Amino acid sequence: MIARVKAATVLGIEGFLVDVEVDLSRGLPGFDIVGLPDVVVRESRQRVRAALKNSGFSFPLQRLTVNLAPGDLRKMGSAFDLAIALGILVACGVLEPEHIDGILALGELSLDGTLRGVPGVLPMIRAAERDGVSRILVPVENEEAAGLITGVKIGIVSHLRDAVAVLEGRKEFVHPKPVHFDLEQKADTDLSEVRGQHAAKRALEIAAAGRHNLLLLGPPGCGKTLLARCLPGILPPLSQDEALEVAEIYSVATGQAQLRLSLNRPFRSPHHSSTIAGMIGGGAQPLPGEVTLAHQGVLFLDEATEFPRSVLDVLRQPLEDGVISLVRHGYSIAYPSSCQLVLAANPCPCGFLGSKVKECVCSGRELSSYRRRLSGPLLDRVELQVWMGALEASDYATFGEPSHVVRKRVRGAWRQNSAAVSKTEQTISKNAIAVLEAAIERFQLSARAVSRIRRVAWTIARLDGRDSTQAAHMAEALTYRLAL
Amino acid sequence: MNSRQKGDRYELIATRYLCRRGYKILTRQYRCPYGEIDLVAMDGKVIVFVEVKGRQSTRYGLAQEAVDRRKQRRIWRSAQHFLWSQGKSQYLCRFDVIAIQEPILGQHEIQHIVGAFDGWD
Repeated sequence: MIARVKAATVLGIEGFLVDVEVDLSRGLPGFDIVGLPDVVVRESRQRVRAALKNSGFSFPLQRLTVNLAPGDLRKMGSAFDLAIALGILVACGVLEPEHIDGILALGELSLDGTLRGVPGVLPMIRAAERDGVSRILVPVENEEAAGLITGVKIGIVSHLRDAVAVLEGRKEFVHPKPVHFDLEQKADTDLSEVRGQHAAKRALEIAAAGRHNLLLLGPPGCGKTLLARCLPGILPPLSQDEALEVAEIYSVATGQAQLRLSLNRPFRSPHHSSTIAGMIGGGAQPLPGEVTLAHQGVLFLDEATEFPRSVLDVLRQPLEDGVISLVRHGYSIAYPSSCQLVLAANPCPCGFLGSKVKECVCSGRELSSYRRRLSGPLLDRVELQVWMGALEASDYATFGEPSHVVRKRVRGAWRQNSAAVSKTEQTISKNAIAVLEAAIERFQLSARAVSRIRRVAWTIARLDGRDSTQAAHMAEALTYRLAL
Repeated sequence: MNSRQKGDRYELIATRYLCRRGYKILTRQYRCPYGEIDLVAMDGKVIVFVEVKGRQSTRYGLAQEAVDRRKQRRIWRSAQHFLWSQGKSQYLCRFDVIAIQEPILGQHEIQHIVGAFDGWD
C-alpha cells in the first residue's frame, strides 16, 4: 500500500514541491527515508514515531519506506514531518487515500504531536499556488505567511490529531486571518536632524531618486553614518509585489516563522568583519547574504575601507546584475540582489586628509595603500561620490528639510521615470552632450562611467521636473565623480 | 552458579512467563552466523524476537540497559536470518526485551518491554 502526500522544501529563496511516498511492506520492522534527505529530514523518523504514538495512533509493525521525490533534489528542513506522518497513517489504513489527495502538508512535529512552525513557508505556499495544489495544511505559527496568500485553500492546524480531524472532515478548515503589509512607523533618522552638509544631502536625494550607489567621504564625526541612515526614510515605500518578495527572502533567511510584513525598504549595515559568504550568501545549507537581505533596499557599508578587499569585490557582480548565482550541491541558486550600495569612509587612515582644522599625519605610502582598499572596478560602479567636510559653527543653527518633504520630490522623480520607460530613449540636449564629450576627452572615462554619468544626469533632470537632460544636469552629474 | 547457568535460568523464567501469557514458543536460543536470539515466540500472528536479560543487582545498571545498539543490530540480523531460513518472511514481527531483576534467588521481578526497538538506528 503506497500513500502519497505533498510536502515542500526551499532552494535558494524558491519553494519546491516534494512528493512524499510511504510504502508499508511485510518483513522486519524498520523505517527508512530515501530521496536525498539531509540530517534534519532523516531525524524526522524519531519525531514522527513519537508523535504518532503520543497522539494515540499505533506505529506500524512493518517495514516502512519513505521516498521523497524528485530523488535528485536535496531535501532540507523539518517541514516534512507532517506529510510523512500523514502518509504513514494512510499506508496503515487510519486515513483513506482520498483524504490526502492533492494535499500539501507542512510542519515540524514535536514529540507529543504538536505542530511547530517552519521557516520558508511563504515561498512553499507560493510554489503550491503555482503548481495548482488545492489544499494546504499549515501550522499555527505560520499563520501569517498563510494569511498573505489568497489563491489557495489553506487550513491552520495546531496538532497532528487536528490535522487528521480536518482531513477526515470531522473538523472545519480553519482559514488563516488575512494579513497585509503595512508601513512601519518606526523612529527613522530624519533628514532634518542632519546639520549642514548640503552638498551631501543633495547627493543623497539624487541617489534616492535614481537608485544610484553613493560614496560618502569625510573626516570622523561629520555625519556620514547619520546621513546614510536617512536614506530609507526618503525612499518611496515598497510596492505589494516587492514587499512579498522581501518577505520571502526574510522568511528563508531568518529561520523564524515570523514574517516581515513591513512596506519599509530594508536597510542593512553589516559589520566590516563580515565574510564573503555573509555578504553574498552561501554556506553548506545556503542562506541569503546581506546583499540579498538588502534587496529592494539599501546596503550600507560603514567604514568601507575596513572591509577586506575580497569582500568588497564580490559585490561587483551582484551590483551590476541584481542577482547572485551560487552553485551548491550541484544546484544553481539565484538570490535577488538589487540593492542600492552606500559606502562611508574616512579619506585617509588618520581621517583628517583635507580637513581645515586638523592636519593629516598620514605618510604618502599609507595614503596610497589606503586608497587601494576600494578597488577601481568597485568605485567605477559608485555613481555618486561626495566629500563631506567638518561642520562649521554656523551649520548648527540651520535645520534641513525634513525627510517627508524630500521623499515627495523623490517619489515624483520615480513616477516620472516609470512613465518615461515607455519612451525608448531619454532625450538629452545638444549642450549636455557637448559637456559630456568634453569630459570624456579630458578624463578618459570608461564606457561604464559614461553610461552611469548619463543616468545620474537624467535623474537630476527628473528631480528638476524636466523631461530632457540639460547641460547643467550633466555638469552636476560629472561633479559627483570624485575619482576623476 | 556460573553465568551460563544464570542465563539459562533467566531464559526459563522468561519462557514460563510468555507461555502464561499465551505466547507460543517457536525456538529457544536460535543461533546463526550473525548472532543469537534468546527466544522466538508467536504472539497471535506476530512473530516476537525476545532478548532476555537478567540482573542480580542494579550495580551495573538495569538489565534492559544492557541491550545496546550493537546488540540490537545483531538481533535484527539474526531475526532476518530466521525469517528467511524458515520461510516466514511474510509475518509481522516485533522485538521485545524481557528484563528480570532477581536480587534474592527465587524472588524475581519481570519487566516485559513490548516493541523495545525497531530495525533502524
